[in-house]
Amino acid sequence: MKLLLTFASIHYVLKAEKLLKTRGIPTEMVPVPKEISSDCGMALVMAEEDFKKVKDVLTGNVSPEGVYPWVKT
Amino acid sequence: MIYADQAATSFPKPPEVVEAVCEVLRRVPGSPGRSGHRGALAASRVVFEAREELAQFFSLEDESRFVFTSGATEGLNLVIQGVLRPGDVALASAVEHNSVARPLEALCRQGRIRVHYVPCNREGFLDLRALKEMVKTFSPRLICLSHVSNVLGTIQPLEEIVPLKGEALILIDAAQSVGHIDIDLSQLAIDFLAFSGHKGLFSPGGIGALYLRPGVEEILRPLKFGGTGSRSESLEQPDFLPDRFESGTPNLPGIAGLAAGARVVRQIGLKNISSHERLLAETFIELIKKNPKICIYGPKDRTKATGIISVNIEGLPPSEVARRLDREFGVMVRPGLHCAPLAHKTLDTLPQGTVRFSFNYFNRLSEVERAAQALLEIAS
Ligand SMILES: Cc1ncc(COP(=O)(O)O)c(C=O)c1O
Repeated sequence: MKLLLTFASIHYVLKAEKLLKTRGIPTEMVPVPKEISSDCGMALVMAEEDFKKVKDVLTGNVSPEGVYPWVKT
Repeated sequence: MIYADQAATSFPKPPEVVEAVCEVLRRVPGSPGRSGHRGALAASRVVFEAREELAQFFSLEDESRFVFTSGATEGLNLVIQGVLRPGDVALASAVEHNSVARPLEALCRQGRIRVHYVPCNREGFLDLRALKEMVKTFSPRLICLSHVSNVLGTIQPLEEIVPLKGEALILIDAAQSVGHIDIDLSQLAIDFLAFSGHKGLFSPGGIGALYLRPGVEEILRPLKFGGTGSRSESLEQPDFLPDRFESGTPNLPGIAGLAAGARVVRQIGLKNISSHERLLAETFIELIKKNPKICIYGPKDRTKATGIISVNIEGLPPSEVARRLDREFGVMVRPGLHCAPLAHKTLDTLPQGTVRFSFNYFNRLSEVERAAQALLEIAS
């Protein structure tokens, strides 16, 4: 399964993306699904098995606002 | 033609800056943070990378501490109007620019705060003993200080001054220091630092940034409220940086130009910039001091100043000197009060002010020599 992480604003999405990229953790940037927020922002999708690593990388740098199961439509 | 008005705005702009500005105008469709399409995302990346450039420029890790503004003036107003509460006291130096003095005086006139000016000597240096006393006597909420005087080029020793602030917050007006001398924000306990891009960072006008020390955003009221692209469902202003203080569509070409200019400065190196500017100022002063009718203001020790030199010719109004420099010699300078009547009060040069020459890294030694020659001819 995949997870979708949302952030306070695009600034933090880009910051998280950069941190994860430099650690070699694959992510994909997608528009936030309308069921989660009506805001037209972006979110990051990643493999569930990477989540622990993701948390380690982001802690103290960027905190996600929400974590959701990601079902590609 | 010799451009010696770099303190007003820098010229020429390096090709990297021109390219970065044009690149955004040519190739980036969309508004940062305002949509999910690739153009908006590209725009968001321009802003993000510019913030990263600023963090690197000031030796910091966290890029979210920088908020883009329209310039030093907006950053200074944001802090002055945003932290001072009724009954507070603010201190400011006796050489401040009107971008600090006017917002302070406006709050005073409304009866909301009191302001006291910390004296400076005739070279423009802050009286540290007086500062210590005034901090003790008034327990100020905010201390405002120009890092470099825009009239004299005097560099205030921040490493000595900042530790004297006591409980106060300190706001540094870095309009004339950024891009001229090194500022390491990881080493200085500065609460706010405001600057523009168009002077020392070679960007177009109308763009700047404000640095906020971690935690201070909680006590700072925004100057503007509005759309940020984030939390759109809420009618309340976001409480996180940088969005809290960045309402409205940003000046994207300006931001790209600011970042490109900061990169140029890092590539040249601030040591090289400072030493070239010092060489220009020292050469200029060495040449013009031959004529006793020319009065030179500012620090004798030019290791403590930038490329700004204020002068007067005995018996000639500054505006007339500047007019002749331009008309007869093609030398562009700025006469008068330089938006800093407080500084001229300190210098005793009111009401006419001085003739200000300001040189930067892109001025050649030969230009400075010709500018000096022109001044000598007008004085003779
Ligand atoms: C010391 C000082 N502070 C503030 C400013 C204001 O900068 P800006 O007009 O770019 O907002 C200037 C420049 O004019 C300045 O020299």
